[in-house]
Amino acid sequence: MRVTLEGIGLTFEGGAGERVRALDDVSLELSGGVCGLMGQTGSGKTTLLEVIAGATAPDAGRVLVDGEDASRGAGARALAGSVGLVFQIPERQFFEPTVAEEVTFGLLARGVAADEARRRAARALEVMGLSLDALGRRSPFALSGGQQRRVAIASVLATRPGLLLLDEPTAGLDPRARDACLEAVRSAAAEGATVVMASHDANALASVADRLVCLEAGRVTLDGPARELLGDAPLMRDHGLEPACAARAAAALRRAGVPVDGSPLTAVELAEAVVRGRGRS
Amino acid sequence: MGEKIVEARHVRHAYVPGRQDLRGVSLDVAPGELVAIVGENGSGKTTLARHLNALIPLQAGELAVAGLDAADPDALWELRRACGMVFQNPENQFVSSVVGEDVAFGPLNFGMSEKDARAAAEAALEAVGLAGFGRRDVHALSGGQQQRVALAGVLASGPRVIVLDEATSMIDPQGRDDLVRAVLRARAERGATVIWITHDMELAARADRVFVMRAGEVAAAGAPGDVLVDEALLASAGLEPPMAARAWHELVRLGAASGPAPVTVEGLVRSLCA
Repeated sequence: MRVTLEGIGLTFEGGAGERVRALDDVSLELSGGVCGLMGQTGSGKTTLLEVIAGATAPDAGRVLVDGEDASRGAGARALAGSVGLVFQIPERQFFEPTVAEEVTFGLLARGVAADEARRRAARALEVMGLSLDALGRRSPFALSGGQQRRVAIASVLATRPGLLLLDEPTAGLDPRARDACLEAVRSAAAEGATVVMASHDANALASVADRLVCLEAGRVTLDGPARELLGDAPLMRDHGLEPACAARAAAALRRAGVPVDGSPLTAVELAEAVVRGRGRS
Repeated sequence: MGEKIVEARHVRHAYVPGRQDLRGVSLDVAPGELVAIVGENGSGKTTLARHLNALIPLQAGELAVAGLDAADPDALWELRRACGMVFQNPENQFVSSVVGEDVAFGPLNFGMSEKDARAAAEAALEAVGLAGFGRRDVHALSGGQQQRVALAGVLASGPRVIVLDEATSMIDPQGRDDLVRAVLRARAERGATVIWITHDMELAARADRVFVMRAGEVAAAGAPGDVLVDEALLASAGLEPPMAARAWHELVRLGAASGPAPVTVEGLVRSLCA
């Protein structure tokens, strides 16, 4: 699915008559792959995801889905039928009394037969390390924070969205659940979905994102290959962002006079870069 | 053994009969210590934390916080005052939309006069770097600022123990760094004991001691340099070492390093420069 944002702008009424420009002339072309979205709190990431999802209307510019205006007619129907949004706070997207009903809701609403919906829900939960048999009858509101987040992701993955939007999906997840989430993101993209993932977690983005877009005060300030940007610790810091931990370590080692080759983004890459650096010096 | 501010002996808990969410947790924390509790989702970290300020009543075992017995109903009020908690989602822990009123709520509730509560709130906001924020709307603040307001609300009641339950997982890196600084300052200036529940191994690496929770039990406890480098132990608890230790282990495998693994980036730099 190809999504085109043309000059998107959105102003909110803040407190005391203050007007906040949440998005300012944002133009992006999204077509397949995983686009990471970074920016400090308040930079507009969540608002941008809501605009892409059609949940919030911009007051300037327009969103096109496969070339059609997504605010009405065929474009709006195409968007509604294929978008999946994982909210930053999972309990905000729950409304069913049980986990089973929560995860099958989107499928049943799309006309999937009950048996098939249950099978796909079970599979989506399994991908996230959860069991429909064990949790299906429990209230989603009674789960732990990490379980809630995984149920929220599973409920969206189960619909196999062509446009997958995730808002801080790895926050509060332990390493195993985090890896499962990132693997699910990679799989969705490999199956052709267009994925946009907003995250503060540079290490997570380093492992899944092809492209990185950074927002500052509602404007796009960086847009390029994820590896290149996330590995450039000074550039990330200049934009108020935290680089991947390995990139931060590489920069600290270089400052201390230890040669490091290339732009490592993981612990293994860092070790290899140190060995290569020694070989060169 | 010296004085202990938290003493847990064989604490067990089941949310529903037949389940074992805590399977006999025993741990001690010394006054002023900074400890991290790590473990995968569902390992019992939050259940343990909620026992510490009596949000969850003690079912079995023994627990004392600041010398107050968690099994004694008459001690619960003081115990809750002695141990304050900051939760994961900042928006879920406010009782007033006005920063100053929210921070003063705790001390007022604990019986302080309005004047003293206001002074305690102002001092607490100053301590977390939010002096002058008293009249602001909490919902207009960033997530990181909201967490510092929540911390101020805890500090205003003068707790001896501060428990932070995944308090940095929903805020941006700047907000996390500001919160960590505020907590460390509260520890230094007020002598508070800090119990940090986290998935962030880089943060756990900065603690005095780390407790690893696994399936409702404490699987290991010790200095970060001992516990957070043990790949097998951490893997059994669904965790992995901090990045610096993983990079070091890889360097050792490549024959390019030897000796104990560092757990922080600063330690990695020192080890590779040595």
